[in-house]
Amino acid sequence: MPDLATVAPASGAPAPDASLPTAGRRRALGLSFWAPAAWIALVAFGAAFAAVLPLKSPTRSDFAHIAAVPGTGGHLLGTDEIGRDILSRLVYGARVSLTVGLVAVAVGLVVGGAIGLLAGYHRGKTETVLMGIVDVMLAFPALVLVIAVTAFLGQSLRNVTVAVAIVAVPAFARVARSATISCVHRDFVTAARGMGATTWRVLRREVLPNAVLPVAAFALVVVGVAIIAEGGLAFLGLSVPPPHPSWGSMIYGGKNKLADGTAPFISLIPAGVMFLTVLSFNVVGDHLRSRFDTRAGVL
Amino acid sequence: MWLAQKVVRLVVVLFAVSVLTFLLTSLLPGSPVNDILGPRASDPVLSARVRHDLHLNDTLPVRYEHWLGGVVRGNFGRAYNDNEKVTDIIRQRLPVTIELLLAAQLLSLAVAIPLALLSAYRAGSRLDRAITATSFGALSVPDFVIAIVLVFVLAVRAHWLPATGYTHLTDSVTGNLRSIALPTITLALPLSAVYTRLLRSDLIATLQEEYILMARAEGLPTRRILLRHALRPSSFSLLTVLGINTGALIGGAVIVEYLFALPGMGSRLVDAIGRREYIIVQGLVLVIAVAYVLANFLVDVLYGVLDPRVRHA
Amino acid sequence: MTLLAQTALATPLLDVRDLVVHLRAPGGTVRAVDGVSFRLAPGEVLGLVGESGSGKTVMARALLGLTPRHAIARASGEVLFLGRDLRALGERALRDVRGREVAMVFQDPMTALNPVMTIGAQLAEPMRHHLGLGRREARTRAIELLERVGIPSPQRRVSDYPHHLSGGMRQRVVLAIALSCGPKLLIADEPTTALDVTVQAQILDLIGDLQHEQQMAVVLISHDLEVVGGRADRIAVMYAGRIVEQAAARAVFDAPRMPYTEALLRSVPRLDQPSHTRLEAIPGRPPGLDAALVGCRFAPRCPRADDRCRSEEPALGADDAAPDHLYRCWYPV
Repeated sequence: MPDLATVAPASGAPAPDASLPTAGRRRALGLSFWAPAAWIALVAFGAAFAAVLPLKSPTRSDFAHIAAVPGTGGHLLGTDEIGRDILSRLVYGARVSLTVGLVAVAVGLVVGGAIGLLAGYHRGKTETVLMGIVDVMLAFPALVLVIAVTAFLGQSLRNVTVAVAIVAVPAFARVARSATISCVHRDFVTAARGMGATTWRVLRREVLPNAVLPVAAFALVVVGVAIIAEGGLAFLGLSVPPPHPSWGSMIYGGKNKLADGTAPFISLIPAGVMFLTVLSFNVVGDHLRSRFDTRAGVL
Repeated sequence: MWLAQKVVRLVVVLFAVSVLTFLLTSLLPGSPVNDILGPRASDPVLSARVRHDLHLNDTLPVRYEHWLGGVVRGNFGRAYNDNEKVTDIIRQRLPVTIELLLAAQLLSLAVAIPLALLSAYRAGSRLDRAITATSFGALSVPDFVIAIVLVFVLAVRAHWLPATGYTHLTDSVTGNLRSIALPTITLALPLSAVYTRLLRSDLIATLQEEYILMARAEGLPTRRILLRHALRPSSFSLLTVLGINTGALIGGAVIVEYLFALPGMGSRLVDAIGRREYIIVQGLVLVIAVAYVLANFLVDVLYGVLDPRVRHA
Repeated sequence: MTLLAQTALATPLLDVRDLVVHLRAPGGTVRAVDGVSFRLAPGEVLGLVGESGSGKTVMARALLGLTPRHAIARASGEVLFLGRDLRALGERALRDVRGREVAMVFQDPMTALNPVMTIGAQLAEPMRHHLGLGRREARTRAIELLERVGIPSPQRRVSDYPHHLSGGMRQRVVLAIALSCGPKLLIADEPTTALDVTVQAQILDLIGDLQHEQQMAVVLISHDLEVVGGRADRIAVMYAGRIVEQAAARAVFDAPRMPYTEALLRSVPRLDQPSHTRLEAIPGRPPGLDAALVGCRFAPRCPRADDRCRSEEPALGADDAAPDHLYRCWYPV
């Protein structure tokens, strides 16, 4: 399972991604932004309205067309190894992936962000204690934590989401702390405190608006990681139990037909969809980061 | 002193990790008595004896103390069902995982450093954009997908490399290398993408510094400036993540180990969880977590060595 | 024979002819250097003065070809160093000139030194590269250089890192690095601006000493006339990308021709004025270098400007009586 900590920038300010430091610094929002954004919108739309879309059943097998090539028998994207329609399984699977991705990350962002913000602002003992807890949480192999949670609470969409959220919290705490530290020491915060602003006010009006941006950009990338994580879990059979479709379990189901080459599309189509979705989140997240990264260009 | 402070923190974190590990596994559902005795668990005498042997009647803190005492002395306990010593399991499995992760890290660095240097030096050029796009792509592919595709292409179709299985170094060096080739590439692909982006980012920032301009004004050749002047101050993020990953991969290469049937820590851990072998889970998780914490600690210390400003801050 | 007379006869060390550097910027093009020409004789000190935004830093970097390639919108002109046009040289040939024959000193010593390399290593590097010195030789030379620039206990300092030294010390090190290969020309871009006032004089004195000792020519760039005052043989005043006055230092101070120069001189606070004398600032701001400029560039801020000034830009010329004193004004002071 990809380690969230590896995606999080290290201590210190989040690594700025300065593209060419000259004219055209604010990359115009061209195709490289709108294409992935459109894809995300498409997937989200499918996930949200799956029930009302004219799709075949994702769980019933069409025994006349097992492992059918895309386009045959009325199945737009073919059928899987036991005859289920791939397209509808993709759409229903999107629900799982997006729910885990977005909800788990949102929870991780809010909780982890709050921890990081407090630690970065107050420093001293508060920071040591909070970040100590964060470090301990991070030390645990993510997979074990998730498996433990699902073993404890049972396998369901909600529990998988909770588990991924738990793993996401410490990563966000780290990033939020870095971001907070790098702006707390800036003069405008000192100025606000010098004018007698309370901690809460300073946090809300000075620190938060500035710290939120690198954290938000990070969040989008984490969505991609979470989707992959859920995919990995599903692949191992630890996510939502069958017959509910999940991209990861679809890939797993088609594994043998990929290995012997008879129907590689069963694995490759969901793999491709997962790839495109994660890629889209990564690209959009990167755009966000470079947009708000106001660094003086060279010259 | 700066180092002493960090050591104290290390000890505290390690302690907390051991407590958490113990709690986690002790609270998992299922009773070890049932697992060991199976249908004979209904026999009160037998189950009472097992409970006594395993100290299951003691309170949690006492059990923890007992377990920790054993661990410190090198005794991680024995598996319930087949009485296998956990330390033996660790001794067999850990080297495999370490070999895999070292190979993966080396490969990704070998790819990432030159790519990042090229990319940063020619920032904004077509080459840079191509490298960045490829990195994004590599980051977005799940490891299990890479694994099955690689197996499909290189093992099944081309028969170049074995699809599964592991040959020990002591048995055959070439065999060993061939057996870890695919899993190493699988792990290294996303890793190198992360490292390339990280290093590139920091390099671009460093290249804007005035001391780089000064080095140019001194007439020093570009390659020298990149390697001697720019690389070192830019490596901090990379090193941190490298260290974190080294620790993380011990437990994090699970899917790859599983798919390629490598006898490593991760694959054994998943098995143990599935088979509810909690003593094994406890021991393995402890080792994994401790390794992670130690790796982080070493990275922290290395920071101080590399950047003299940190030592005197 | 006076130095000036000698200067007139000798071939110039540096001959900049109509240098133009326009840069790309988000809004359009910035005409940072818009036709600058000057000459420098061996061993001569030229003070280049201008407000921030006058283009002096861009010009300094352009001399050594250090402007980032992707930022240049347009560039032309010649930079003749000992007869060779530096602008026409390829990067490799330029590298041989940089550090070895022409050296540069930057404004902020805090950022000009690599924080993760020792002082000794940074000193030794150009010597090892350009002069082929071995490691021990270079270290010995480095210690000698540190001593020459006035750093106490150089043997110990050689293994220190930049953050161990104060700002003034660091600038001395930067100077030492610049001089390590015995260059014939030193370009000092605002060498004292980032330093405390007391240290400024020391550094300037040091530059002066070294200049005499090595018979080095120096282009001393500053926004501060005082800095340049006693130290330069000739002074060139730069405004909005162009040189607007150029003469022997004495002449510029005693008898400035361009109203801008005069205003600059007047704006310097003096201790012999009665207390509470109002500081004379020059009203307005230098023109943004992106606009196309019509007429004299100083006209908007000049008290003597009239319609002719606003529509026609004066050429750089001189009075017959003083052919060495160039200025760019229709109605000189």
